[in-house]
Amino acid sequence: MMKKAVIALSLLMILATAGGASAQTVRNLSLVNGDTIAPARPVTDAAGTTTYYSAFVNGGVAGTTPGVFTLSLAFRDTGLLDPLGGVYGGTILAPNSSFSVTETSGRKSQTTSGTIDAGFVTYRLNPDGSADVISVTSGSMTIWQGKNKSRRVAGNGTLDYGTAAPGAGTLTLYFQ
Amino acid sequence: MLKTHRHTHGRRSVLVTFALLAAALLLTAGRAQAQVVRTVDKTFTDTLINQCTGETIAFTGTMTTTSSTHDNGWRTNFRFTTDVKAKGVVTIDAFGQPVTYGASYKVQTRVQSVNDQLDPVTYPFTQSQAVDMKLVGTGSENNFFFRFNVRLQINANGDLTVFKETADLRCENTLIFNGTISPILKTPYIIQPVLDY
Repeated sequence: MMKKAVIALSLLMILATAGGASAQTVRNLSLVNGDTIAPARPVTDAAGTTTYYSAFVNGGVAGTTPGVFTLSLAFRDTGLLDPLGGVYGGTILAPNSSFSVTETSGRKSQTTSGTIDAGFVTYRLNPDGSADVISVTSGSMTIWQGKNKSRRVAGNGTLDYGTAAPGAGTLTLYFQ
Repeated sequence: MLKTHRHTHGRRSVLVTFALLAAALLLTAGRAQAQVVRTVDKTFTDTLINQCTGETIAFTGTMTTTSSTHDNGWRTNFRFTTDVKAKGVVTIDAFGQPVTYGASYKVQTRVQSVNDQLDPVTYPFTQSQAVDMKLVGTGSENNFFFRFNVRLQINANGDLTVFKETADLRCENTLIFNGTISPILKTPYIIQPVLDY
């Protein structure tokens, strides 16, 4: 009786440990040489709120075979942050903002991508009213895998781009 | 008689169709407002980094920006296209050092974005962005090709129903990558040039 109880308890412990030890892969990517390839275009609604659409930031991923990161951004203006530097702030518009990392693998490229669900953008205005992205920070990103109906969440991530150095930063991806 | 009747009937139906079409056009014209703005900058100068090599290319050329807004009274559709065609030279090498007589490149980029926005902003919503970048060196220089597409759709409930992102990166004849010299020369798709000396 005692022996059976011990075996049952051991099994229970093994199952509990197995459940808790689900592996999570973390990838830290260093972003370099980033630049705003397409500035964001402003659209002001009837209430006077300006939303910037279609910013495209592109750069390299250090330490891998040639890799490229992209940030496709839409954000809502929150006002002037630095009058001297002409720096404005905005909040990320979700799910209209997304990220991707493309790395070459043999003759093919492999892309990891997802949505930026929340975050903050700083930007500078161009003479034509469009906006060049300076920095993007986000603690809430979703990595998606598959397409349309077979699409599923593959993990999440965080982003810190352009805050410490222009055009550089860190993208951390947590795969489930 | 029958023929005449048919003719009259035919004319009537044609007239009715025209009247309906005219009415539809008038109604649509009253609501739809399209605006297209195209600007051409023939002296566009900028710098770009070849992500295959890490070299900085300073270029001069033409940038054409076309934006169109179509508002039918309840939905606004924006389209933005930016085309850059330019020629440039390497001014900073992969090691971060200035270059006096750098290699020449042709630069060609196109960014195309389409956004829907409802008045007031609600769902459903569609957004797409397509990017095509080409940096082509003369002769056997390091070429960089990058294509990127993203498309998303949000349904009336605010749920993301389509999220599709594709990208294609190609590095050709890459001799240098991130400050490291590759041992393989003039081979297409040389993409692993990190060496330990």
